Amino acid sequence: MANIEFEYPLFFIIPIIYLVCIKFCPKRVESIYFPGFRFIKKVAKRRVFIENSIWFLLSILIAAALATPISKSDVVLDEDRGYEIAMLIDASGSMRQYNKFNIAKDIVIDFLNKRKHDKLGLTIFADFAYIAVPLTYDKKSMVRLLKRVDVGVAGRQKTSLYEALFLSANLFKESKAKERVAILLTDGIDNTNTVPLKVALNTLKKYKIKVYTIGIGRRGDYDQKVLEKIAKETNGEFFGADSVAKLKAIYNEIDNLEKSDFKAKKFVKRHYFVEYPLLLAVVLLILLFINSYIRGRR
Amino acid sequence: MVEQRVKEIVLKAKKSVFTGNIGNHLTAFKGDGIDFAEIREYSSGDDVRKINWKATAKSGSLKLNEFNEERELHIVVVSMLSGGLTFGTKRSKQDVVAELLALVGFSAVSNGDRLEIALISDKVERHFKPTKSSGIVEASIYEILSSDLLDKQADYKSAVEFLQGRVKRGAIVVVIGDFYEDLDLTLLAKHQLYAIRVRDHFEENPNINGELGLIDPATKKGTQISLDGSLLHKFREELKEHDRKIDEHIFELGAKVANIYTDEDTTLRAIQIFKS
Repeated sequence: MANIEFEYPLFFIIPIIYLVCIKFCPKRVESIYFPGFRFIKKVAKRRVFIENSIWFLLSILIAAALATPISKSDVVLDEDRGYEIAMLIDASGSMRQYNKFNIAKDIVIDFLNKRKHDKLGLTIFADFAYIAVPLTYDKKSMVRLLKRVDVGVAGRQKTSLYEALFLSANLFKESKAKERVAILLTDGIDNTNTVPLKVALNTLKKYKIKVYTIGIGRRGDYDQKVLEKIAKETNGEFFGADSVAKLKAIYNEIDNLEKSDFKAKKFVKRHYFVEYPLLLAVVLLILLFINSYIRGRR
Repeated sequence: MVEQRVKEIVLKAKKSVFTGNIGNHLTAFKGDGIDFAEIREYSSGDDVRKINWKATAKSGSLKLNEFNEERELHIVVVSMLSGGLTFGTKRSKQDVVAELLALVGFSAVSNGDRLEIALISDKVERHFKPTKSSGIVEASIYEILSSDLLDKQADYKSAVEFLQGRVKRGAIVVVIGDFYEDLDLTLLAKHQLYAIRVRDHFEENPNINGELGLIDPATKKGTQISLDGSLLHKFREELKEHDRKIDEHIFELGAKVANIYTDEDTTLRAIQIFKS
């Protein structure tokens, strides 16, 4: 269940006004001096308390209905037209050097926040590759997860680059989006051989995924030829980054290259719960009426 | 207005008392004395010295000589004033209390008894020392009818404390009030005690429905209650239980308790109560 919030919480002033009114502006009814007051008060004490509580509860329920309880789901786009982007991040041991991993993480998070209307996925790879977050609009949890990821979560000896590509490509199996993008960030060379490059490439092509490859570190740390090849065959682009500023610039560039141009197709899934407090209020009212009717007849 | 009513009550009471209709009945209090009244069955607690041996021998069961109260009795009328007395449908309970006081008072005076009157709420409002003149009757009736009783509570405890030590054993104490409060009259048991509960039928048996503001005449504090059948039923039960407890308490003291309602003829009721 999503969080329930109120659209017009100001209405909750009603029960407060109700309480104040009961205290300071009582109903004008005829009053009589009644000698047996002590006894009738004693007898009525419990009932008066219950009835007053019910009336108060009613005012709360009505206020709750007016305040419009609502649960908002995430923004959902027209899936056929949105972007779907898989982020592949190298978490091998070498990424720890020069704090590369954390810098990359910050930049990726920054990028994530920019892609407001896209579906994003996250794949981490080192000794093996795994899908940390499948394609989703839920950026919050993605950022949360990304913050916790550190070097070594997938081992730290090797770099299973192709496996990561292959796995990420499979993320798009069910995809209906027109634009499918994968951004590969690495500082090493594939050395696990779990998935051959060819297979990975074929899968990428099969699902029409554009791959941007980013090699970070000095030239020679990563296999520029392979990365260029991957980019080329999938209509993507290769970037080499040897500084933080450059890496940032690359992500900005990718952001600009893959600009989603529709913001109108934005939906907020709303679910109203107005009827529940209202229904409860009506039931209580009916019970009160029945109660007073029965008691009145006796 | 009040003066008028005082005069009416006084005249009516005097008429009843002095034409001899009830004069003797009202103070036919039984007790120690030499004025022989009757022979009756012995019951536990009676003075053994009064056993009539002849009658006992004849009948085979213990018999007792009963005497009329010694003359020159000391009669104390205690009128408990509370806000509740202002209530009444036909006439106020206040009025009934005044009438009752007039009857007892004049009949005492006409019999040559010593009469003492105390008007008590949560404090002693007025106290008339024992006398044989009828002036205090009028004065106390005026006091009862003219004082604003609202916001006053009858405190039976302070009444008992006031009488304690002031009135000698064997007096006749008549307590008039509406007896809504909890009370303990144990200390008055040494006197011949009469408790007369003045009520209105409507207050015991209110048949009103709907949202109504009720105000406690004893404190002037009010609340709003929606009255209906079941609530009133519970109220009646509650009040009955309260009255029953007080009746029981007074019976245990060997005293007499009786009700007078506002729609009843006070004189007739008074005769019934004091005669039986």
